[in-house]
Amino acid sequence: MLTEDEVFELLAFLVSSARLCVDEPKLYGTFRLVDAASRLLGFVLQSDQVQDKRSVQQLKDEIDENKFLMTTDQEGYVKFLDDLTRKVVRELKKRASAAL
Amino acid sequence: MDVLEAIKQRRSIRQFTEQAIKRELLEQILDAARWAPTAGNQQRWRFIVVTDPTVKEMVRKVSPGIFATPAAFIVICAEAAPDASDWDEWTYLADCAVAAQNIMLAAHALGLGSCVAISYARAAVQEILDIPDQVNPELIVTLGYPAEDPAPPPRLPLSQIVFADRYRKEW
Repeated sequence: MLTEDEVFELLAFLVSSARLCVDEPKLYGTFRLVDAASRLLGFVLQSDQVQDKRSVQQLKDEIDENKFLMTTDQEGYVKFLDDLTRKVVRELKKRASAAL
Repeated sequence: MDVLEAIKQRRSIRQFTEQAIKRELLEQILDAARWAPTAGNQQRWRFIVVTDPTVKEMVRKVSPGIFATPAAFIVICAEAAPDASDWDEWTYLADCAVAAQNIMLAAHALGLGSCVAISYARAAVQEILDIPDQVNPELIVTLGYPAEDPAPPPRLPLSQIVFADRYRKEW
């Protein structure tokens, strides 16, 4: 689904983030992870192989609209992460029931 | 533009248009950086201006703290003196930070947006830009024409951060 260039872009982001996590505050590591998730979803949306584009776009928008709470509102940021994990699980359930 | 006005109006800009920055503007910005004070007038900063699209993309890819490709990066490096002490090296970062502020204020006065980044893989940036071992890429400033107009972030009131004569004594 991802092109080789996209794989290397994500790879560069992930390994650079791994190095930064050694020195940066703990919360920044969580930010890098959701930012990587957003980047991954961005690449998926660019491909023509995604079946439910709307849900994928909504998840990406949710991340991009809230990820910077990390710098301004720690409590709100953690709530956003909780909400995001619930939304991802709902997507997993939706896909699991569709596969039955 | 009045300097106090520039200080208050400047915002960290993370989204840029594709418009290139003329060399004359970059020179004015770098000249402002050159006039920043340094500890003991050491002037150990070095500035790498990155505008080549391929090089810019590589720098962005190893910089998780940079969210879009700007028209230019200014990579502010500290070239350590051969006999640099720990104290000298500590002052380099302060000197680079002061130069970064001059860069950002000059950029704002010239109608450009900027943001200072510290979240990048240093070893990767050294490799991309052929930076020798004794030279440390301390900060990266992104520069470009703004594609966003962010609201001012909250600031603590002076009453909370300023004291008179003694710590915690009301000013």
